[in-house]
Amino acid sequence: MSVLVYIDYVPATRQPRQESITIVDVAREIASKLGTDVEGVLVNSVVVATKMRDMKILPRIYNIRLKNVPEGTYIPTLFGDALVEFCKKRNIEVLLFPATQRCREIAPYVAAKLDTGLVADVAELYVDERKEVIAVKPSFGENILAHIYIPDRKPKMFTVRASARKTPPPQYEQCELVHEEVSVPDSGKIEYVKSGQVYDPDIDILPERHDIVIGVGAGLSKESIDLIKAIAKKLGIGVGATKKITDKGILSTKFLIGESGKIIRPRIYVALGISGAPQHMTGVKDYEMLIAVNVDDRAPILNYSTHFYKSDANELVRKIAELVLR
Amino acid sequence: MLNIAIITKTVVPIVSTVKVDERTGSLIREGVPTTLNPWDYAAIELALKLREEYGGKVVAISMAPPFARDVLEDIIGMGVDEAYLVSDRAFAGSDTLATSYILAAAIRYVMPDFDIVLAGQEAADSLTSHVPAQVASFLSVPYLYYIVNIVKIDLVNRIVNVERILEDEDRIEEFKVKLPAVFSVYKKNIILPIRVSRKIEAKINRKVKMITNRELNLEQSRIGLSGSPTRVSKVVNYTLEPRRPAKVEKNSEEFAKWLLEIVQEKLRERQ
Repeated sequence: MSVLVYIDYVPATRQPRQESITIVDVAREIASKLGTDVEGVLVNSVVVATKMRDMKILPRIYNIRLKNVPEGTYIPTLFGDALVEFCKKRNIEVLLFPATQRCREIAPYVAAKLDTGLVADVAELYVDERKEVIAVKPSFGENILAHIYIPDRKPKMFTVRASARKTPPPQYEQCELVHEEVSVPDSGKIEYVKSGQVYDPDIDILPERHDIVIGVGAGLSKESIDLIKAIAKKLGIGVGATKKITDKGILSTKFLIGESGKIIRPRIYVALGISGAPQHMTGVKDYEMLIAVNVDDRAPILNYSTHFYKSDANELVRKIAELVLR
Repeated sequence: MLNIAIITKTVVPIVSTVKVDERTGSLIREGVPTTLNPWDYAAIELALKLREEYGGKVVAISMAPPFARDVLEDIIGMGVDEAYLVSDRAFAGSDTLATSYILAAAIRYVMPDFDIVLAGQEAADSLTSHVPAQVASFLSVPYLYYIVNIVKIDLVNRIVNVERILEDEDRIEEFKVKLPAVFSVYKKNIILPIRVSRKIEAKINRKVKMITNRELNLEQSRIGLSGSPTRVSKVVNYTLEPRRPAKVEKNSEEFAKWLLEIVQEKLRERQ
């Protein structure tokens, strides 16, 4: 019996995703509460398997090798079928995926093939007194946290938002690397052609990279948000956004904090023009200071704030810009 | 000619009105206003565009309680050829796995010779993104998520080149896919407004058709609550002990300076 962690990586660069590392922290916790082993698995990359082995954060990593498929080729059904074959041969209690877009693509396919349950985009996992693994998932925005579990089936599958977790320290003297070949059905129906990097000029102000984050909400104009990005770049801090802002396309979903976005643990969160809806606030945890600026001094954000300043946030942004960008 | 099936979902626009049946842990959707999942517009738009270019037929399929008929009528108004409401008491309580099983059966029933199944990237209320991959699994066809562009279609050999975007990797990938296949469409790929002008006329001429389990004849063990591996153990309100923030009384320039000092002090601490 084991808790298995799926290791996601960028096929073209063979670089493990950071979330594949931080999710090990979640997996170790669940495994120790269940009294089981924890292991890692990835599909078809010796390079990634070796990088992960050298971190010594897992006692054992399986690299599922695919015959006649070069490293760096990714196809969802191919990776999914490989995992399915691997899981069928083992007694896996829990299978965890980091909630990356690639994993959100593979995991439901694997769950259907294994005829088991999957809970998406889990904010938190815990083990209850009956030793049942329970996923906490914010649902339907306002006020609802659903606790979901998977009785009677194996493996119990979860995609977990783990970006706010810390990188687990090395814990094992040795990490055993096991290469295992599986044969999967012909994937000739779909072929990988090529991939390209899209340059993202905002990479250095993504919220999970910083412990000081400015959150922007519907109370800010697009012009103000552009100024905030420039201010954040200059100061070396992060920017986060509410769903209203990412849905409008003013910022990409990489900035989204809360439900369906990221969970962050900043030391300081500056909430500008954010009303404080629960679906956003569930993504901001363990802060030392939350400084809110809002025209409405009865907005729910007050319930979360350590400091409140009543003002049109746009006006304040202009003032800060004058000080920082001049 | 392309035969395209769109799977759509009706969602709850006012999220706070949703209640949960505490006995079953299922959502009580009756009496709650519903609307088309906003991310499904991208799938509908792409389907109509493909039909315009290559000919063929577009059907929309949605699994929902009977009151969702209005939403499907609107989709007919947007220009799809046929709309099907998959609805039966036996389907109630289905999680994503059971829903996908039912939808796959409905697609086979309505359009056995489908070339492409299209879906929105995710549902705006439940945000799982499970259904397209699971439908593909039950239909035994290839699938891809986050499609932004159909690069080319080879109608003779039934091969399509598609581009998709992985926002969290800043990466565009191209794949060559043999049809039939399932695609989910990247959610910000919407070119609105859709052809709503044909709405009223189309609604009069074409009615939403109903599919129940009499037509699909699915085993009870695969559908509804008994076909669903996941269970909701409890639903709790997200509550917190409200804080009493210190109200900062300064003019905006003073406040901006104060704020910057705090930020810069923490930045210095870090170094």
